[in-house]
Amino acid sequence: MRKAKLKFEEALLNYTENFEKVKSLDRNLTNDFGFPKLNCKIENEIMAEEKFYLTKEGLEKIKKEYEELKVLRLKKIKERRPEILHSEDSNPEYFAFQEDLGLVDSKMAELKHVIEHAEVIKPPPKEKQNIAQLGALVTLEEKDGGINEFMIVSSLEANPNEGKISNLSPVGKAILGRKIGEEVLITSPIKVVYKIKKIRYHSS
Amino acid sequence: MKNLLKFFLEVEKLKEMPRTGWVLRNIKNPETVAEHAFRVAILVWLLSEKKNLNIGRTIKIALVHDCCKIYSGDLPHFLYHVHSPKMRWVRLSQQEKEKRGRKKFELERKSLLKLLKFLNPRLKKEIFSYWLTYERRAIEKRTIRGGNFVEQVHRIETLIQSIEYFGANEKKAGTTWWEFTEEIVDDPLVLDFLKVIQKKFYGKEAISDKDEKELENILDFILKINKLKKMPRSIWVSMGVKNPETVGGHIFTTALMTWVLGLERKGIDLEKSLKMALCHEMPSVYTGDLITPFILPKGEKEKRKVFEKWPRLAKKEKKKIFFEDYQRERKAIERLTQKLEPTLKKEIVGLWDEYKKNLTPEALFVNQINVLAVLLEALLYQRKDKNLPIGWIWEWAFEKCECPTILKFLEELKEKFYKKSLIKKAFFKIFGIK
Repeated sequence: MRKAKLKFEEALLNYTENFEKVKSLDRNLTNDFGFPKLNCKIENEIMAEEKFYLTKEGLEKIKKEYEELKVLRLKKIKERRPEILHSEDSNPEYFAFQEDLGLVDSKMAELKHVIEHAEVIKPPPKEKQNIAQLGALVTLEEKDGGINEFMIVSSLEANPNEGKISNLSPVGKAILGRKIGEEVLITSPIKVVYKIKKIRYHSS
Repeated sequence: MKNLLKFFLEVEKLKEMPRTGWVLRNIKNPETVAEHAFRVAILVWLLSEKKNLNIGRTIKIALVHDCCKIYSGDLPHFLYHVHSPKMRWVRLSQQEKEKRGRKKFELERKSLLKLLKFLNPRLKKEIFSYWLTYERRAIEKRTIRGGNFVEQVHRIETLIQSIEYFGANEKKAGTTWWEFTEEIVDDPLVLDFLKVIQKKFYGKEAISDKDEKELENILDFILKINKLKKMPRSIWVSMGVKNPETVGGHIFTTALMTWVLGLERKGIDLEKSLKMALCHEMPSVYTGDLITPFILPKGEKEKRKVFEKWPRLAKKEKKKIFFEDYQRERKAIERLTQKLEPTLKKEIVGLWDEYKKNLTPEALFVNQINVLAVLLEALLYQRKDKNLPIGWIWEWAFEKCECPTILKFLEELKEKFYKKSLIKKAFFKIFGIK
């Protein structure tokens, strides 16, 4: 039994170490969940040298999620580790456990990568705070008095369902770099014209 | 199996659920949520090919992205009444958008979890995690996982549908759908596709790139596929079913069943099976929905009689009918895909050909799933019309099905739909009532 436990721990360690080396989530090496398969050691082109521009709240949210996953991982290992009686091949519980752990690990690796390569969006100096940049909350006004608001964030943080739009979307692109009082043409084939009424940054 | 059947019965509701946005804009017989998901899945497949995404995964996300609506209903974004006098998209403060967005998310999350309770933990986890990435509630690198990509394609499909309903006409359409799309799309490929839509319908300049032609052809293909969202299944029309499912709705069920039941069927390539399910009825765009081997007489009453039993035919006759159908459909699918990029065309025609000829384990499986989807639908219609002759579908199913999982499912169907009547029969027998 002790031998089996050691073997399991060795496999787990091996997997975790390998996972650290995994820098790629190539589609051919992912499982059905889109997560990397065990023991894949490939260089990552997608994850390398990339910066993620995040709001302070956005980064904190990711850090919190990472810490929660860390706790969950420990809990999983302590509580749910199945006993290996004979061969691992014939132990479905072992594989289910491994798969679960794989999910948590790949999620953690992804979050860790984002945290390590994150750059918090700083509000611009006061004299430039009348220009819409990343992290700005922009209030737009239409001729008939209609008011609309968007927060411009990076693609990673964007969620238009909550009013946070990506700087790369057509709406985001149209607003970026504009000053208070300027007109913005938002929609391409059918025109919507707004005037920038207000620009706010988190710390302002 | 009992729980799986419950799951599919609940999912069937999506085939009768019209999309709220169109209802609010007074569209008659608007597309259903299932029909929308069907075309999103096809568009996601075609565009994913160009992005080197995990296609099996993106198709699955497309299939389940609206399953959260079964109990919550099709809530408009921001719980917003789209029928604003100016027919434009939401104007709200960011705080209000966040508040409403969260409320909608919570309602849909609860609704999805209620549905997923019928599934095993693995599938439950898989679908829920897909949905979270689609809803942008999970940090994801879209280049790898594709939830955000599917969300963008979903909005593009809705935009195309709005143009199909209202035309490229600001007075009729308003600005709603363009605004709705342009605030979310930021994937380079989807942005290019948006430009191609502008060129096609508004005569704007598109990208001057070699990809332009390919994207134009994908758009033309998707516009033709729209026919399937409106095409009621001939078999139900001939049998006199009111408001029957469309070919698009049937494809949605078949694809979802292929995925869920395919997990239990070892030795098949699930991604290939899913693609096959999506293209198995594509020739109907040109041939219409064929109902061979049935031959229909003219009178309405006589028509129904034809379905009282599965046609008895000699092997030679069966072969002849199959060959004639095959040739018509082959021509249709080649015509439909002729402008697509050669590898994609080859893949679609090849998958359909395999399916039609039952050439591979995947084809055998999807063929059986197809029968199962028809049978499930028939049983639901029979609940409304007890005299609906569906005996032939059982006969057909028992001729075709051999996969243990599907046979188990058939047994479950019998149990679910005939149990009560068996009890009734036994009761009548005991008390001598005829």
